[in-house]
Amino acid sequence: MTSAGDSVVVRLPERFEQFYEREYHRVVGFAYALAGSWEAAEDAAQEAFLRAHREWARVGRYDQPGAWVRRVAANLAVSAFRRRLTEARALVRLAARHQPDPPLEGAAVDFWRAVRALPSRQRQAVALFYLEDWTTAEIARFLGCAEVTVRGHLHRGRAALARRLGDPGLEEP
Amino acid sequence: MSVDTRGRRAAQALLQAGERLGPPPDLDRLRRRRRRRVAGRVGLAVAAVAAVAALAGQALPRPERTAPDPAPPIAAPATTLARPGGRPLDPHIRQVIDTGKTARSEVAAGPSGVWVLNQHGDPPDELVRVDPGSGGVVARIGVGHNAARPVVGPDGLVWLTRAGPGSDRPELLMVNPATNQVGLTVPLPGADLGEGTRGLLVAWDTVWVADGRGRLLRVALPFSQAEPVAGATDVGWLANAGGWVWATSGGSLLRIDPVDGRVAARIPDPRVQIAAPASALATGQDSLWLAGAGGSGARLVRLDWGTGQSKRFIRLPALAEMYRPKLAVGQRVVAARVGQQLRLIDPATDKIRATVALGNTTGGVAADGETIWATESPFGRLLRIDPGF
Repeated sequence: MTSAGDSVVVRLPERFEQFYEREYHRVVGFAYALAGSWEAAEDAAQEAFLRAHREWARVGRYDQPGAWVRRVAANLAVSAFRRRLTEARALVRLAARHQPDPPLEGAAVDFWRAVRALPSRQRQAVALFYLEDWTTAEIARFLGCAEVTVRGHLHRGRAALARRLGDPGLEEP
Repeated sequence: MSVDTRGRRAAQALLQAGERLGPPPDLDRLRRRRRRRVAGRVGLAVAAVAAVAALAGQALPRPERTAPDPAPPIAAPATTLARPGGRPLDPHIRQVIDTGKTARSEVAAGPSGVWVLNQHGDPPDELVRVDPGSGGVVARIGVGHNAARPVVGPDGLVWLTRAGPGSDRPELLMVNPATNQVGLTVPLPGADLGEGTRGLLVAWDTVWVADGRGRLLRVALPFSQAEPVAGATDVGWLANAGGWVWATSGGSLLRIDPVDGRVAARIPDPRVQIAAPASALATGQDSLWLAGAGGSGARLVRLDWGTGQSKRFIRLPALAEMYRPKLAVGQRVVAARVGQQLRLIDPATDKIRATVALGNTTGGVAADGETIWATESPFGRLLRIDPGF
């Protein structure tokens, strides 16, 4: 029973513009981790945000609207065909683009290339783990699986990265 | 250096590099770019594919057209066409296009136009491409025996199945709209298409096929082989919404991860069970739409595409209870074909706003933007229908 003095917390959706400003670069980074191309990453992130904007009345009330956007961006970014189309689109509108890709140091390029070589779900779990610093519970909600499964993905993913990048401490026996 | 340390540093470097891309683009500019992209989707896709192909040294033929012509405005006067015998056409029918007599037909619409599948049985079936602007037949493409379920993908490519002359060579076909020819054939070993394909969906650059026995197959890039989706049984109809692939399965809905084809959830719903067996599933208006003829007549269920839970339940009055409704969702209308009637539902109110009388009970229905397309099989007609609201 609620007395007159009790307060009731009603979760109102954040303004989309605020959400967009705050999350945009992180979603682009996440999409880059999966796609390996800034063009493809920006394209996927922008499309994901446009969809979120269109459905903000619903998406904005989710516990984690950022997870929804990342899922859409991930689905757009991981598709090889779409990636090829996006690259081709980039060629088509190359003349309109003057800004060069931002430089990324060699070690980071190698790391994310190794991440992209992982199976799809390991790739997503590892990207969210390092890039977003999400807990296994948050990643499990994102992937729609059990936490124990996420721990498995992370373990196998990190072991594979260790093999590829040369960290014997994490290699599987 | 440990993997964890490398990972943290790589993440930091990536986020810093992302910041150097500049501030997030203005939303209005994004929206304008998206509108342009959608408007010229065919041209862009073909140009993009051509660019990729050119890079690979295998140039594709030039497209015959870049984008469909705009449909006639809603306010255009109704045609004064009449059926044989002088019976006037329903005023919602704006154009009647002769696509050739056939035993049965299906129709699909999308960025590359309207595609009618004339199912002759013998002789081989034929895919008829119609220009949605002029209503002219652009091409007739032989697609072999026992073809079914044409679907136009977001890039304009047309996908369908065929079972072969003895229903013993199940295959998935892709028709390239740039050449009007079958551009790809993928064997579907083990698929039973003898009783017809239940569902076909193009989503997330994967083609999903539900065969006649309810088994679900996914054909992912490079479209060379089909693999069964484990745990998906009694699958009927397929749709793509909210980042998931959805499939009807008895009285339940399956939510399938498009990335790895894993069944993520089976969602039972009493309203879906009442409508079972489902006869159509479609996406649009931020919802999933499921039609079925279970119980005492045809019904339409509107579902939340995030959770799969039902939101509305709409009865579809029919002249007979046996008709299994077919569905198409347009920009402002949901069209449910039940026997000789096409019910036009306003998704803003979930009410039936109009009923269009069709000439016969068999044929398909499809939507493209604000236009609904329906076929009348034995007569070989394609109808352009304007909802008028």
